[in-house]
Amino acid sequence: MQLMSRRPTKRRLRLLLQAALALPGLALSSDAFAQTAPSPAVVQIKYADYRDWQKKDEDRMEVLAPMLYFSAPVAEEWQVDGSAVYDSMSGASPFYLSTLSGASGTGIDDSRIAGESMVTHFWDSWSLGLGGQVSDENDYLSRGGKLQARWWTEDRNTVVSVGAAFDSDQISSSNDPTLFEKRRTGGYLLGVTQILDPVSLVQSNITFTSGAGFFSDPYKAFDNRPRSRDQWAWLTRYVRYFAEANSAALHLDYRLYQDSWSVYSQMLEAAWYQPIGENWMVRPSLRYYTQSAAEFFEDTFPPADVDQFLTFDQRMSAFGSISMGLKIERELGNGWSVDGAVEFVQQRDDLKLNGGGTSGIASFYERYFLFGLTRRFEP
Amino acid sequence: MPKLIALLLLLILSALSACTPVSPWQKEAFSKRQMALTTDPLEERFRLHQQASKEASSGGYGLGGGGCGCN
Repeated sequence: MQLMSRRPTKRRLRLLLQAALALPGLALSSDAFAQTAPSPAVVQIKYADYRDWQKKDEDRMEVLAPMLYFSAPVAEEWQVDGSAVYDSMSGASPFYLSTLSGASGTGIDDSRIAGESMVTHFWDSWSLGLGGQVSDENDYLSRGGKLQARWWTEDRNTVVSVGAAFDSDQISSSNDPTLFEKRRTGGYLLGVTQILDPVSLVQSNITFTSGAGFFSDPYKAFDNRPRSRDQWAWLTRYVRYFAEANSAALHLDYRLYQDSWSVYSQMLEAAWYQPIGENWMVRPSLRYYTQSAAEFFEDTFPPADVDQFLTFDQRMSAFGSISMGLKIERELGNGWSVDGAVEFVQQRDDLKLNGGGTSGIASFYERYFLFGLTRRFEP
Repeated sequence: MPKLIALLLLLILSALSACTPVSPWQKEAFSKRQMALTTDPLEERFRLHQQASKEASSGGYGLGGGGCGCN
């Protein structure tokens, strides 16, 4: 008691509030609060089985990827989290437009190992996180770091995030041993998370990324892209709770994007989390995406003038895409849960909202399965 | 675009300041896992990486996370 009485009043109040909130049903473990205090430990493993194809019967890439994630509070005021992934990739990628024959169409067999980690310290009304990330393929190495600060109001209903990241990439090519290029990227984030009422919250983030260096794809014919790129993205996420629907939740994400290559895009995604009984959760989701073509995208192959900025990359054309997903999660007790998810994506010229690009590119399809096992350690 | 974003951000901030304060005991809904902005970190990372490698745009969700994976 003597120790307690020496604490500043504000800290005592906070402890009292925390004790009250620790009562069953009031534990604050959701993300809006996870931003303002260390959250309980989580360990998660997942396995992804991804493949894509075009024209219904031309296989392109296949990726198999085991993944690991952990997050743990340390000594009350610290949080450490990290993830790692190993991608094993095989298949073919178009040489230009949808043509699979050529440099990269002869077959790709590559692997990627990537990891990131972050350490965050929490104070009464703000936190500061320092992190690093690395991604390594035989022809691409990326290393970077990031710093993220958060500040919240005393009632913890509003959280403001500010962040900066830096990445340094080294690019080579298994087709061209003389190629050794670099790219440096700076990224900045400004975001606000706000609890709107007892059942809903909104988050709005603006990110600005500015890169300088090599952006071309060494495996594509005549690919010659500008040596700088500025990207703006504005994402707004809305989450709403429906107590009357067995505690279901609606998630809506909307993103507006523009960059210095004249690519404009919009993305709208909806997901419905439906608990069934005590232990099951089913989540159907739907995503729509549309983009305009980069200003240097061409669809007449071979090009008349190869000295200008050029790309025949399907991803730089205009298209629209629709994704449909379903996830099922089962609680096993003692903090364990398993989940399985499937998503199917179709990317087509006639799904786009705005012009540009070409209708001469084959429709593209993706599907993946994700299997996960999670262990949550409640305090 | 930067000017438009600044204006929109200002609008959002002024809208947020008009919100009714929610007390700690009214926040039970936010303790549910399905109410977290990121309900599954690995799934989110996998999807964002996949989308960024098949689409010309990315960003908004966070910072960093390099690598090509662009086949």
